[in-house]
Amino acid sequence: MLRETRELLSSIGVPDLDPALPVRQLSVAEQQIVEIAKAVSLDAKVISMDEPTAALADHEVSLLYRIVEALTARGIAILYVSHRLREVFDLCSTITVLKDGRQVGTYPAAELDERGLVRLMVGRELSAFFPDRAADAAPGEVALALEGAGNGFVDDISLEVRAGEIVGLAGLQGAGRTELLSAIFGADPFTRGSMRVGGEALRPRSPRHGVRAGLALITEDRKGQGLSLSLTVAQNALGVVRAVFPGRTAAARTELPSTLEELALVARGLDQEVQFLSGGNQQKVVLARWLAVAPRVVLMDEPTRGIDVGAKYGVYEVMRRLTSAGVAILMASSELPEVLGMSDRVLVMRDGRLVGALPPSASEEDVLALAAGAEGAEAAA
Amino acid sequence: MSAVVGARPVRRRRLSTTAIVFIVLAAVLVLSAVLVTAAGKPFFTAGNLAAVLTLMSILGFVAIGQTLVIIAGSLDLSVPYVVSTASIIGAGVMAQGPAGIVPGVLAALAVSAGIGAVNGLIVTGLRVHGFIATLGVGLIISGWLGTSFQGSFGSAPPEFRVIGATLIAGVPLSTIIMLACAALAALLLHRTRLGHHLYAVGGSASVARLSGVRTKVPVVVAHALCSMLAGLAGLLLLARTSVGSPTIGSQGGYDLMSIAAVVLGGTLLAGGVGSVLGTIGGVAIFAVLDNVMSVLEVNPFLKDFIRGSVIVLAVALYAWRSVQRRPPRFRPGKEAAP
Repeated sequence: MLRETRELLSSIGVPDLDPALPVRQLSVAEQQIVEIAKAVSLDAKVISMDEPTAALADHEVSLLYRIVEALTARGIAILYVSHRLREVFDLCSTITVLKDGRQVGTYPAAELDERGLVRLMVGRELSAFFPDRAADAAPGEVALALEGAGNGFVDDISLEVRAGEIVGLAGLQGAGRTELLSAIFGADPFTRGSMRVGGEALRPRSPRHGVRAGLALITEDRKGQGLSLSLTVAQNALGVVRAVFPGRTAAARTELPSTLEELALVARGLDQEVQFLSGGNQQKVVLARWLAVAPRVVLMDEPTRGIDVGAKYGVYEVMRRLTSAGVAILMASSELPEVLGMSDRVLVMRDGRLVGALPPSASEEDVLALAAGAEGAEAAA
Repeated sequence: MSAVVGARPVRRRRLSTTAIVFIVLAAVLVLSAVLVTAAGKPFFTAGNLAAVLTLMSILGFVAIGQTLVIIAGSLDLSVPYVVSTASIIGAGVMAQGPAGIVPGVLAALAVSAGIGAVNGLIVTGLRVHGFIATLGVGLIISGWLGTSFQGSFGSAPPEFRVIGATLIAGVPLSTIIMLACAALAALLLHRTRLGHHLYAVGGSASVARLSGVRTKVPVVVAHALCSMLAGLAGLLLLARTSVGSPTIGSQGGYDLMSIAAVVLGGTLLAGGVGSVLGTIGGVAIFAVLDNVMSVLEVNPFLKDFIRGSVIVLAVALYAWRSVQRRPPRFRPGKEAAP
C-alpha cells in the first residue's frame, strides 16, 4: 500500500511526501494534497476544489498550481471555487460567476479581466481594492508595545503599534502569526518579556484580562472561535460587552442597530441565528461585537478569509474608520496584496520570531523572501 | 443587497420547538381523555388531575436543574443519589420534631448544593466530562447510602408532611413550588448575565472564553443549582413518604428520566440551546402518559415501549427540523430573499 501511495503521489507531482506519516502530522497544504490524491485514486473525472488555497501560504499555493496542471494534463476536469482572483485567472479556462445564489454568467477566462470579474461579482464598479489612507493620518502615541516577549510558541518579540496605525503581520503558514496574536490577547499568555498597552505595563493572563485592557481579537477561525453559531445576531454582537463590561450592555444594545446598519449587515433580523449568515455577514457580526467594547488595539487574524470581494472592501473600510478614530490595528494575513495594501508597516515572522520590517511600498517578492528565509534577504531588510 | 437588520418586518415565523412540545402535550391530553373515557373511567376529575400534577412535580424539579446543566454543555447523572441523600438528611434532622424542620431543609439543601459544586469543579477544574464526573460522584454517594443506611431512616413530623398533602385550588403545593422554581430558572436563563453565559459556554466554550467570559463560573453554578433542585425533590418526596429512604431516588430513575424530559422539551443534548418551558412541557407529557397507562392498567412492557418511542420520535423530529431550519433563498415564483 505504501508503494502504491508513493506512486500515486509521484503521479501528481509530490514524490517526497512520506505515505507512512499520520495525516495529523502533515501541514494543511500536505493534508490538502492527500485529499486530492484520494480523489485521483478513485479515478475521478471531475474534482471540485472549494477554496483549496484558503489556508495555504503563497509558496504552497504554487505547489497546488503544479498539481492542478498535472491533473488537467491527465484529462481530469477541475471545478475550482476561489475568492482569490489571481488564482482564478492563473488556473482556469472558463469562469462562472455566482451572486446571491444565482448564476450571473459564464465566460472564457480570456474575455475577462480582474476589473470586469469584480464588477460581475459585486454587481457594481469597485474603484479600488483597498480604500485610501486618510490624508492627514499621523500615527499617535504607542498603543501596544512588546519587548522581548515570548511563550512556548513565539520568542523574542519586540514591536510597537501606534494609535491610528495598521501594522501588517506577514509570514508563511506556521510562522507563528496566530500564536503571537493569541499571546498578546491573553489566550496563550506570554511567559517572558514585557508588554505595554497604552503606556501601562500589562501582560494579559486571560482573554478576559486582555479585553478589559482594551484589546480585541478577531480570530481566523470564525466558526470555531469567533461566533456562537446557534445564538442570534444580537446575542453574538453583545456577547463580549455583556461578559466583560456588563454595565455597558444596555447602551450597546441601543447602538446595535445603527452599528449593524453602518456595517451593511444583510440578515433577516437581530434574532436570526448567525449560522445561517454568509461568511461576509458573519464577519460583520464579529466586527460588531468588538466595536461594541470600543477597543484601543484590535488584533486581526486573517480578517477577510473566506469572504467575498464586496464584504472584504467593507472590512477594509471599517479598519480605516477605526484607525482614523485612533485605534491601533495589528493584522496578520496570508494575502500579501492585503498586507501591503492596508498596512502602514509590515512585520515579517518566521519560525516563531520576527525577522524584519518592511514599508508598504515593498514588493510581494521582498516579503516572501524574508518570510521564507531566502539568503541575503535579512541583510536587505 | 441593501436590506439591513431591523429594516424589514418580522416574517411569518416557523413554530418554535417549545410550541411543538405544547401542541404534542395538548394532543396527548385529548387522546388520553378519549382513551380513558372510552374505557369507562373518568379522566378530568380533580383527583386524577392532582395525581398527574403530583407526578409532574418531583421529576419537574430534577428536570429543571438538568436543563440548566445541559444548556451549559454538561450532564448530571448523580441526581437520583442527591434526591436520596436529601431525603435521608432531611429525615435525620427532622426526627427531633417540628423544631428540626427548618434546619433539616437547610442542611439537605446545603449538602445537595455542595455535591453539585463538587460536580461542577470536577467538570471545570479537572476537565472531566459531566457524564463521567457525575457518574463517579453518583457512585460514591450511592456507595455511602447503601452501606450506611438499611431501609428507612429518620422521620418527618406531621407539620412537614402537610406540604405533601396540601392542595391549593386543586393544585398540589409541591407542583406550585416546582412551577415557581421553573419560573425562577427561566428568569435566570433569559434575564441575567449568568443565563446568557450558560448559553454561550454551552454553545462553544472556546468562543465564550475568547469573548472574555469566565467559562468555569456558569458551569459550576449550573451544577450547584441542579443538585439543589434535586435536593428539593428529595425533601418533597420526604414530605410525601414521611421517612427518609436511601433508594428513593434511584427507584425513580430520575437521572435518565430527567434527561429524557429535557431532550423531549427541545433542549439540545450538546448544549447551548434549550428552554425551561420546553422541559416543563416534556415533564408534563411523561406525567400524562404515565397516569393514563396506570389508569388503563397497561402492562409494564408496553408502558416502557411507549415512553421510549415518544423520546426517540421527538428527537428525530427535532433533528429533521434542524436540517430544515435554514430558510430557503428561493421559492418557486417568488423574488429571492436576501
